[in-house]
Amino acid sequence: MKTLLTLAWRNIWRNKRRTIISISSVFFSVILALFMRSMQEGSYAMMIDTSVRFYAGYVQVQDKGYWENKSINRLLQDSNELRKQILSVDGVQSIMPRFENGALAAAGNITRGAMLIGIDPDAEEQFNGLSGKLSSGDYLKNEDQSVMVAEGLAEYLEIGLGDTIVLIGQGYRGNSATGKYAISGMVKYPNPIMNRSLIYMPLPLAQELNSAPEHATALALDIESAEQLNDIKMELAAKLGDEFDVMTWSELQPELEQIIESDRGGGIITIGILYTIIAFGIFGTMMMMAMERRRECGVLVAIGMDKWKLNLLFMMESLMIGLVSVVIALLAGLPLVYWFQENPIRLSGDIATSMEVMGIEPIIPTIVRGDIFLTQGWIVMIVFLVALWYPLYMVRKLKVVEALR
Amino acid sequence: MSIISIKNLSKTYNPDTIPVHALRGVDLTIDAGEFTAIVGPSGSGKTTLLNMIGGIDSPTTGEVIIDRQNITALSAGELIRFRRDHIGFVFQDYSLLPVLTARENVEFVMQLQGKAQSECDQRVDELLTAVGLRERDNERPGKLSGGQQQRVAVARALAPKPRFVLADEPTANLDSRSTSDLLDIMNRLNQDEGITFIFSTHDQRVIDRARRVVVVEDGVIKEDTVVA
Ligand SMILES: Nc1ncnc2c1ncn2[C@@H]1O[C@H](COP(=O)(O)OP(=O)(O)OP(=O)(O)O)[C@@H](O)[C@H]1O
Ligand SMILES: [Mg+2]
Repeated sequence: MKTLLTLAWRNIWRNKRRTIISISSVFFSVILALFMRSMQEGSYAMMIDTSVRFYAGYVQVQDKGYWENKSINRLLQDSNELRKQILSVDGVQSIMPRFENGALAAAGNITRGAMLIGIDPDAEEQFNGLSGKLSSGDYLKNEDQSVMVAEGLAEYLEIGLGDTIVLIGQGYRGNSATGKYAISGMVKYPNPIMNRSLIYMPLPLAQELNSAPEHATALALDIESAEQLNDIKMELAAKLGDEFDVMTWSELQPELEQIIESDRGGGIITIGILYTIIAFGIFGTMMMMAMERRRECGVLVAIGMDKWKLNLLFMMESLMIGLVSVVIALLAGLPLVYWFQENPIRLSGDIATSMEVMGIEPIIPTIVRGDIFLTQGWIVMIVFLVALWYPLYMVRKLKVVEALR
Repeated sequence: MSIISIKNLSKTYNPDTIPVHALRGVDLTIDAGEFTAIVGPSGSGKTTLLNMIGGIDSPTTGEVIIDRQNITALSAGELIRFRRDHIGFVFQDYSLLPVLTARENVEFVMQLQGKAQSECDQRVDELLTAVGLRERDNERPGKLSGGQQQRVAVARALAPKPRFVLADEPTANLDSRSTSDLLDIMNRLNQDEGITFIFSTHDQRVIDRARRVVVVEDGVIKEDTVVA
């Protein structure tokens, strides 16, 4: 066995140039693939994070059936027991209660449909730094009797800080939800839809307006890491039973998930093409390695080497080249991907503007993720295994006398 | 005591297209300790005969019996192991593994047999000394002359203590000096250690050193002379 390993290792360096070319071609494609995939996944993570933070949260707990038609009559009781149960799940970090309801916003004789969101200002601030969106006035406090209005909506209604806004809607169980509130802050969203419609108010105020004290439409959850998402969902669902729905961000925002899936698919196809080209090169290399040693193989079998040992020898050689390539590429890729994770490429110009409009920071970050590295490693090793086809075929067909002639 | 016994051996190449009758009913017996040359003009069937004896090709009819074992009846895998354990091969072009040192080449078959390293070391020292290359044991074949490589090849063939050594034109690529050196070594191993050598050759100087000369012509044995 040791003899075979030595022999294999020396054999791969018989044609140094060819082996180095093989290793380099794998090296560059792995680096490229790593970089592409890490960039893709990094961007997705950022997109998800942005959208999750200012919208759904990673996971939401809702009253059973709320999501289907977002009926104001399907509220959940925001009780201490419920919160305790939720927080007892491993990986859940904090709870942001949300009270969302559509309302007609009016000022003077101008009206417009608006989205009213009751929040716990402190929890929200912790989770997404909501005060960063404040363009004038003050950030909400839980006991405030006032609201924060998105600039676009205020502009439309021709109102500003200190003015009064009237909200008319339908509250819990048929109660009317009508109130008059001072504007204590203005928020600005790059996303035009949000900028045209959002009104924030403290949760107690929203509950009062909708005649639903201690209720909420959803409890949005922050979690420690996105990887735990499905485990957390399962555990929550099991713990809370069927009075509640537990939904993840991808169920709450299926469009986002779809955009990501199709983009990811495109990237994977590109990488697939790249690896296919490399695979042909490797296949050719292994074929040459076998063909030029046909006579030598004949000698080996003549003097008593079992064919399976010869196969093993070729397998060792192939896997050695593969392993060397992969190890070098992954070791070189790690600091590279890490560097671009810490120092993401910053975009400028039109793309940057349109990303900002979508509420996304105009950067392309990479993400260091073990599974992306491992996948590249596996693909390369599989390519090298498949490339063994020719050598193994040759050994099987090998006739000593013919090879020796 | 015969170690090789060949009966009515024939070999026809391309039986279905243009048949070539390379051997036509050969009977031959080789005893332990022989130093036998197979000679004959080009195309007479020397290589074919040696291939049959060595079990690297199979006859069309007849059988090759080595130590009471009919090797034509063995499966492909059994035959490989039979060759490994009982037959030594020396090739015209030396055919050493270029990436292994002289020492590693010699011990290679013993490694395949799974022999202990200490046993290999001892045997290799002994053989490399016998072929006069003990000091060059760490050189790769590329650093050795043709004659030296062929001596390493002889040592390799002998390492697993085979019943006999087959050499198809072992000196064809060597100059006369190396040829006579190699023959000296083979002769000494034959005399001192009783190793059986069977080799084919065109070279009269080599034929002169043989103690039995088997002349093959057109696939049959024309003459079989034991030199005194
Ligand atoms: N694989 C083969 N297919 C067809 N014919 C073959 C094959 N091998 C050998 N022959 C023919 O069989 C005959 C005997 O060949 P062989 O190689 O045994 O002769 P040889 O005595 O070794 O000749 P040389 O001295 O040239 O080495 C020749 O006519 C040769 O052309
Ligand atoms: Mg010949």
